[in-house]
Amino acid sequence: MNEKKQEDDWLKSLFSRMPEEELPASFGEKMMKRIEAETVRLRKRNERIGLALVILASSGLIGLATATLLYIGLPRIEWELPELSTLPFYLYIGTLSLLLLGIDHILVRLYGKKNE
Amino acid sequence: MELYSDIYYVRRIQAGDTSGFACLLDRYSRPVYSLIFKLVRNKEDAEELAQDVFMKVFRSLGTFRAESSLSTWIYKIAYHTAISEIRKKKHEFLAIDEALIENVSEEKLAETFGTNDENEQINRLDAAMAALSPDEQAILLFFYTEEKSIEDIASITGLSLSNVKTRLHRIRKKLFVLLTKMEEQENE
Repeated sequence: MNEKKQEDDWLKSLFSRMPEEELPASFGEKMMKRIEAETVRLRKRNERIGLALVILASSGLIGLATATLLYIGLPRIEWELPELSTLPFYLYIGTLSLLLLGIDHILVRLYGKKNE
Repeated sequence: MELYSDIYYVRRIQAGDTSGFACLLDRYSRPVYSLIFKLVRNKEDAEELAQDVFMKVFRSLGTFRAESSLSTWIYKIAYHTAISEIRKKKHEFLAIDEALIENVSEEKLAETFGTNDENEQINRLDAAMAALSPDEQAILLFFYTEEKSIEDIASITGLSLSNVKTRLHRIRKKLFVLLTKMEEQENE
């Protein structure tokens, strides 16, 4: 038992005297840069996974709703074209409004420049 | 400066504060790098592997359940990373005759080896270590340099307690054979 202990102590003392290799000076800095890059990568990956799950869940819900509506039988949707005889009048009013809006915009810019 | 426990930093990192990892690096980067360097014997490889080890530690911290100490857990990752990297390079290691291992006289070696100059002793130990396989070297380094218990070594290497004890005994004998051979060559 003593021999074994002696032998262990002898080896232990020899190992403890072995020089320890110095860590490269920039090791910690390099590591933290890699850790920060990894954190960003993981965050982006989680965001992408989250977005994919939302898209998947939404598509599933839309699909389910469509299937349900088809299964229960959709009432026929009837849609009639509105009266088009007044269309030229509304187009005229719309164009006039856009024209006045454009003139107002130009005048406001001119006024702004003048008062600078 | 107040020192916090490893678990405190682990919880901080798990909660998203990655700056806590710098404190773990301060504590463990040097011993891990030193251990890997002794196994791979190349500064660039050791630095690259040590970085890989800490990246694995960072990625797996979420799964750390504190069933063993953080240091044992980090050494486990370091051991497997280094060993698998060395195995990829397919080094050949010295095979020693079983009879020689059984008959080596440790007492005699301790006596004669002890008379050598200290630097000479360390150089020979280093040369003898280089002739051992990486997992044998790692077991010796964990036991003697890192002063890990047999239980911790079993947890790090994935071997059973009795297997670690048996292997440690045989590796020591193997080391004595190598050192004896060196003594004999020197005396010739």
